[in-house]
Order: sequence, then C-alpha cells, then structure tokens
Amino acid sequence: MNRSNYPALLGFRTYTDLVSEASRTYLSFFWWLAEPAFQLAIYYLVFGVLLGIRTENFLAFLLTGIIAWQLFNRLIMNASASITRGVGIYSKVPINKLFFPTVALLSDLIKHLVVLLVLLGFLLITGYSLGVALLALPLVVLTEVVLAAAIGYWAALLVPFVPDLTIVIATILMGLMFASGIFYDVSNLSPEIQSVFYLNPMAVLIREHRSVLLENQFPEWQALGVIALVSAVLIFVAVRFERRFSQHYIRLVVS
Amino acid sequence: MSDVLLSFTDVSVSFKARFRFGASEKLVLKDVNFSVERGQSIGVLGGNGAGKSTLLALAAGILGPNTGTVRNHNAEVALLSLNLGFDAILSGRINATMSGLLHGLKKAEVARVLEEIKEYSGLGESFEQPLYTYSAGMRARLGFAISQYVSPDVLLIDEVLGVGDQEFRDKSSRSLRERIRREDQAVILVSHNAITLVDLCNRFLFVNEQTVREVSAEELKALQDLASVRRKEAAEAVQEG
Repeated sequence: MNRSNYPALLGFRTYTDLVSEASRTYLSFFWWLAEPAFQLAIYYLVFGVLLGIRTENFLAFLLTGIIAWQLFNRLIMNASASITRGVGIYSKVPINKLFFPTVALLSDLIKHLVVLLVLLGFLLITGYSLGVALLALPLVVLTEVVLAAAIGYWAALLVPFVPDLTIVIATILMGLMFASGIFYDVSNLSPEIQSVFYLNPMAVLIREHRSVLLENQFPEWQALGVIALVSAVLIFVAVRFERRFSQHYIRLVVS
Repeated sequence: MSDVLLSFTDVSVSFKARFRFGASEKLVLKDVNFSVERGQSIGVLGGNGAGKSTLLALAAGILGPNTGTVRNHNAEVALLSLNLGFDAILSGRINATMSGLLHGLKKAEVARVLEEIKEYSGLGESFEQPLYTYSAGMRARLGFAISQYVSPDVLLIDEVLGVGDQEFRDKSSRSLRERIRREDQAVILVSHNAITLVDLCNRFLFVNEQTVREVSAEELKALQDLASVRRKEAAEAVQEG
C-alpha cells in the first residue's frame, strides 16, 4: 500500500464507518447520546438512589465520570476487534494493520466530541460556571486518547494471535470501571488507598476531567505527562511490532 | 535494460495449524525462483490447493515467505479483488470510492473516474442505492468496473475473467484481455484453464507438488490434459468407492 494514500483512506474509512453504523439502526445518530443517557439513568438509580451515595452535585459528578470512562472503554473494545474484522481487506491488500484500530479510534473520538459538547451544555444549564480551566480539557481528552490508543493498538495486534484475549480484556475493563472512581469520590478514601488507586491511569484521568469541568481547576500536568509519555512509548513499540509481523497475520487466517 | 519488478529467490512457504502444539508444518511452496519483468504476462496453472493463491499473496506482499526472499523493486503491485472493502449497507458510489482507495488509487483519481465507473458498470440509478439491494451480478459489475481503473506496475489476477450476465461477461473479458496485453506493466494471471492462459500470456508457470517451474505453451496444454485425466480418474475412483 502506497504510504501517501493513508491519510485519505483513514479519513474516508472513518466517515463510512460512522455512516454505516448509523444506517444499521432506526434511531441512528441519536444513539450516540442515548447510550450514555441510559447508562447515567441506571447508575444514578443504583448508586445515587438505592445505595444513597451522595457527593456534591451527584448528577454532574456521575455524568462526567461516565462520559470520560465510556470513551476509554469504547476505544479499547472496538480497537481490539478491529484487525480481526479487517481480514477481508488485509487478505487482499498489503496494508499496515494499525490502520484498523486507528479508524476505530477516530470514529469513536468523533462520537465522543459530540457527547462532550452536550455535556458542556448540560453543565451550563445546571448552573456550572465553566472557567479558564476548560482550556485544558482538550489536553485531558488527548491524554486519554493516547492512553487508549496504546492499549488498543496492542490489544488489536495480539487478539488475532490469541483470540481468548478478547474475554480477558472485557473482564479487566469491567474491573477497572469499578476502580476508577466513576460512582464515588476517591478523595473520600484513606490516603494509603488513594496512592494505590491513582496507579490506575483512568482514575487519574477521570479526576482531571472533574477538576477541569466541575471545579475550574487546571489538571496536574505531571500526572498527565507521565501517562502520555508511557503511552507514546507503547505506541512506538506497537508500530515496530506491526512492521515485524505484518506479513504474518494472513497465516492466522489461512491455517 | 531489463526492467525487473519482482524477484523470488529460493522462496519456501509452509503453514502451521494455529495453537495446536506439535502440529506439523504443511509445506506449500518450495524453493521458488523466478522474476517478473515489465511487459510480461505470466500465466500460472495448477490444481486446487497447489499453491497458486499463495504465490499471488507473496507477490502482493500480503504474505511473507518462511525462507528465501521476495524482492519488490519499487513496483506498485495490486491484487484484483472484486469486492474489496465492500459494506452492504453503503451505496455503490461510496463502496466504489472505498474500493478504489484500497486498490491504491489517489482520492483525486477516484473522484475523476467515479462517473465512468457508474457508466461502465451499467448500474444507472442503483449506483446510489445500498449494496444490499444489488444482485450478485450487479455487485460483480460494480467490482469489475472499479478494477478497470487500477493500473499498478504488476497486476495480479486470480481467475476473474468475465463476470455478470453474458453481455457484461463479454465486455469484461474483452477489457481484461486488452489490459493483459499492455506493454507498460506486468501481469500474473492464475487459472485452471491452460487454453485461456496460452491465449493471453507470454510466459507460463506450472505449480505442482510445492514446486513452481517454467514451461512452454505446448507443455502447459499437455499438463492440463494430464491433470484433467487425473481428475476424471479420481472422480471415478470416488464413485466406485
């Protein structure tokens, strides 16, 4: 595949992915917003009403956490299946296998940006005064995307070799969801537990989303920097891995 | 000056069943040596499972050999594929664009030839409809129309001479014949049919029992006869058994 074709191909494939997905359901694009809204309703009912967890402004607190988590969850789940699904293409064209998770990342990111806009609208309506710290939001989101890309690329590259990983990844994500402080405020936990807790990069990123959106505070740059740096290294090694094993994937299909 | 586009040197390929520990490797091709030069059209004959498609996958760069090397001398290589990247829920137009891009056409090139593709495929207004409304023949016509505009240095064809109904079949095999005879590129054409190959190509390879050897047109025809006698015998043996 000619290298110069990739930008056009990435853009067009992302576009057709979004259109294709929307065409498969009656409510099409409406689902982008309905899905997080339904999740919010369920979590609010379970954690807010039944279990009575109450932090200040629980609804906004919960919504911010859910939306930040959903991006991560989606990116990784969709990326991890992407190369396996791309067999119809990579068995006919010598294409960089990371093309497939990249398309998955881009289309999920676009959906996410729409959801973020609605979240901002919701916060404004419910009386949050969004301040200058909002300027840091793109960087917080970008750090999350880079983190999800690092994990998603590796998941995508390894799943064709070991299909069982799909189940392992889903289980780990489920565990991480409960350990990322979506439904509760981590700062209420004891300091020792907190220090362990924030080894989970998603717990850090959800905290930073809330600082920027709900508290008008700039994020802890150092924490973001460490996450971005480690992720960048992982992505770099994934690119090398792809180059080394690119012509091997077809063997997994043929045999 | 010879214009070498691809060269195979001592290429061997074997496959292993996935995750069956201790599974034996199955040898598909052994010590393959040949090169492809501009202006050549190479016909490849062989039975089912002889390794013809593996040979094309190697040439396309989709598959890497276990040992030996397949060298690409900066040539653009494309495997013709009639439904590359197709998504049934999207329109013929969108699918044609996607397929063109995947076949290596630039975005501007695709945009330029879209109307011609519509015309050539004879799909008319169906071109704007989703692919799931198409018959198999219509899909093949769309796929073939796109492939008309794919012009790499090395074109790889795996038995797609003539698709669709009789009228389109004539039209498509006529255009394919013209393309195979072009001097400014090289073609590797895989087929079960020696007569077609002899008619279209100027070099011939015979793939059998993991080996690839170069043969003359006469040899190729003789080999086909031998193969069909064997197939007949095998079929009779099955019936008797």
